[in-house]
Amino acid sequence: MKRKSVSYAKWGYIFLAPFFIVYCIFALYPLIQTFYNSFMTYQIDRGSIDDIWGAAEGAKETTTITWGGLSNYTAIFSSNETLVQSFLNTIIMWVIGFIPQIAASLLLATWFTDLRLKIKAQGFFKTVIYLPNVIMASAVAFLFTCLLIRDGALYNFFGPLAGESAAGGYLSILDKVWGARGTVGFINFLLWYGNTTILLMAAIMGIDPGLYEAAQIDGATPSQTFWKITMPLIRPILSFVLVTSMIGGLQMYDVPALLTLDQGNPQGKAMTIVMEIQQRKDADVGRACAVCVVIFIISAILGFITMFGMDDSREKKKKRRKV
Amino acid sequence: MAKLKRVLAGALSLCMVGSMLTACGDDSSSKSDASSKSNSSSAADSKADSSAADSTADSSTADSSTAESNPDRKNTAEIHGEPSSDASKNTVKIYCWNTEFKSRVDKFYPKYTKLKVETGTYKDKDGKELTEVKTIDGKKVEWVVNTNDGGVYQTKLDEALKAQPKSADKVDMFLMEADYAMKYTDGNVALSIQDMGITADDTKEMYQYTLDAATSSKDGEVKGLSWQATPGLLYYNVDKAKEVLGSDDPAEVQKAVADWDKFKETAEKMKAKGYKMLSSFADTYRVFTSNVSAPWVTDGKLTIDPQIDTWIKYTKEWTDAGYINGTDQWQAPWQNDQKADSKVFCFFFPSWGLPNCLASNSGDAGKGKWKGCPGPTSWYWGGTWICGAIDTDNLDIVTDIMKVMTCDKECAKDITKTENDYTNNKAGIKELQESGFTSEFLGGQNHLALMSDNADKISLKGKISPYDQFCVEGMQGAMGEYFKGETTYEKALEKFKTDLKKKVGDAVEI
Repeated sequence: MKRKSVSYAKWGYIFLAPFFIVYCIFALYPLIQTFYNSFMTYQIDRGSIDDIWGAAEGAKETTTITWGGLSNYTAIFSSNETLVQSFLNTIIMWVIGFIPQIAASLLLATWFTDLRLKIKAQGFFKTVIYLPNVIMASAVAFLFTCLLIRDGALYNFFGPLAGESAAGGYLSILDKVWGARGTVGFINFLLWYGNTTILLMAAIMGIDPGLYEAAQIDGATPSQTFWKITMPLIRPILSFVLVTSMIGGLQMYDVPALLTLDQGNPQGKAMTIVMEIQQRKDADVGRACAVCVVIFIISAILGFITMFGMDDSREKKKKRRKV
Repeated sequence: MAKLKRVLAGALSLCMVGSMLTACGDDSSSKSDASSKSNSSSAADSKADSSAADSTADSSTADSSTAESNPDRKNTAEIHGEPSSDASKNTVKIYCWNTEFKSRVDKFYPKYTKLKVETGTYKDKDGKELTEVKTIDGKKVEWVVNTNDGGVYQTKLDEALKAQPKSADKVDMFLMEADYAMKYTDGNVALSIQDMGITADDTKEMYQYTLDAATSSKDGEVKGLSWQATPGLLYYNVDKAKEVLGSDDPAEVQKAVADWDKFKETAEKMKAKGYKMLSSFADTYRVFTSNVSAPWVTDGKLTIDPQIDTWIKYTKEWTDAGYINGTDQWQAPWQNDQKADSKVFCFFFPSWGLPNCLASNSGDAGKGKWKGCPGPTSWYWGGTWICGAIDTDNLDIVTDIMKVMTCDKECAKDITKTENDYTNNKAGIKELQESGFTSEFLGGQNHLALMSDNADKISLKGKISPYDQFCVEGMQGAMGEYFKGETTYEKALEKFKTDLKKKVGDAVEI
């Protein structure tokens, strides 16, 4: 049989293959394993080490893995556990960082793309705004720790806000719940507003300039152009920013961990869910995996809600049908 | 439709590749089982190869009593797993958590060993040029450094030691701290020193407690050696002592801090002059826990010793009275408090704290500004032990490092003289004392006399458990908030317990 045309499709698959192979090994397989382990009672005794050479008598196994069913899930949601609290902490700290981040980014993106404003030295400003994102989050967190802890460089400046300490003098603002959460939120804002600005600028520049010109001719005010033209048209990118930021926020770890010296203090109110995983991972693998699965499910749900909430393609379809 | 078919076919093939790979994982482990069986003969060969190392070990087993009493006893130096690679044979791999031991080896090992050592130079963070040991007997020295905080070092070391039998890249030596030493002495991962050819004669000048702490409770053999003993002292600021107490003489100052009541009175006097007695809440922690009657964990159960309650009670009282500066231990402000012109009067430090914390943090300006006295009670803090890993492929070098660094009297004297460290050699310390050695940093004080009084009293028996590090870190972290007045004692204790539960799992009943 004679072929009608040459198929190039197989080359597509061949070029795609490396990614999928790596993905399967380093992401999909561990993911499946995490789900599997979350149903196991998987304990590692950190106070002893396996008798690998078989010489000592009566040595006990360090690692025990048995089927546990849903016991890990009931354990992590039991009343004396801190998981729900940590989840709330994570959401609060994310919101503290995200609201100023999206507000500042929208404002900056609108200014930089405004046809009438014509800001000079844009390249310089964009670089400066983006720079914090280049620094490692852990480095910034460490810097803030050094600045804000008791007797740190900015302690005398911020201390009075935190009030008197029992030890005399002031508390560090990191000793206060709002202080620790606020600092985490601020660091996240500082690190990510530049990145978001660049994304939103790209979205705004994708809008047909003719629309803005038409609005100008019709006498629309800048705020009207912003709310009626810019906002509706950058909604897909906004939803993308929201979802990625939310998933990133749920995985918040390095900043709060370094800022609170791994303790999640004050009163465990700056503990995030990933810190919960990190605390457990070396001894209580089963429950650590269960926490991972919970985060996975929550991320998935939040992701779907935002995607459907922001997506207006269904409305369009309805309209088309009417036509 | 054709497109859908292609996509489906692609997805299916990917699934197949995926399942093949997952199968690969299982396969390799079963394969290595098989290969380890087939390799048992080659392992026997390698035993024959290492007869040179064994000959030294044999001489020691001959005179060790345990070997005679127990015919089933395995010579730990003869245990071998997979043969090691050439790269591993040419590398001495040492696991540790800071550069303290490395700097000691770099500085003193080349002087006192008979092996051929090649040194090189490197620049430290201040740009100062320092010498380091590059190779010993032609074998490269490799340091694997992981921080102790949060049990990172333990986790990494455990992984490496558990993989040792099947690995071609062998760990040769590792260090352990008192807070978790028990895990490794009882865990059958370290060589017995008798199998390394280190005799009772070599260790006769060591403090007995350093040997006891490294003795396995399973087979009663010593698994590691320490180059230091860790008696603690109270170090006070000379200027503030003169100003507030009227004298900077150690005997006079000792009177002012002879017990906790006097300590408190002095603290009140310091407060009146605007000084703080202590820097961090944790500064006195080890002073109290040196005298506990039960370890943190006994038979898998958590106990909070009355001494720890005393620490909490006193620290809260002193914090509320304004005697403590409230810094975080190990952080920069705490280090700055050790400068001579800070507002803090005294620090509790063990022997290693003198060179590594006080002297290094106070710098040249601190010379002669601090002096030591015994303080309210005798105490100690930790200690570092050196262990040879079972199945090391550089047994002779590991043995030599341990012998030189811990058993050699001249080396010990040299370390004490130049580094201010209190070494684990009673004869050496005695000779130094008799020769009239004094510490330049402590303004010409004969601190060795004070330390050796305390060193004789140290006993770790019944005071340590393998979970100590997690308990100590958790307790200090949780109680810090209570001291600052941000939470209640009950809440802090509950936080300590829930956090500890996460870190140690079901192994400890809390």
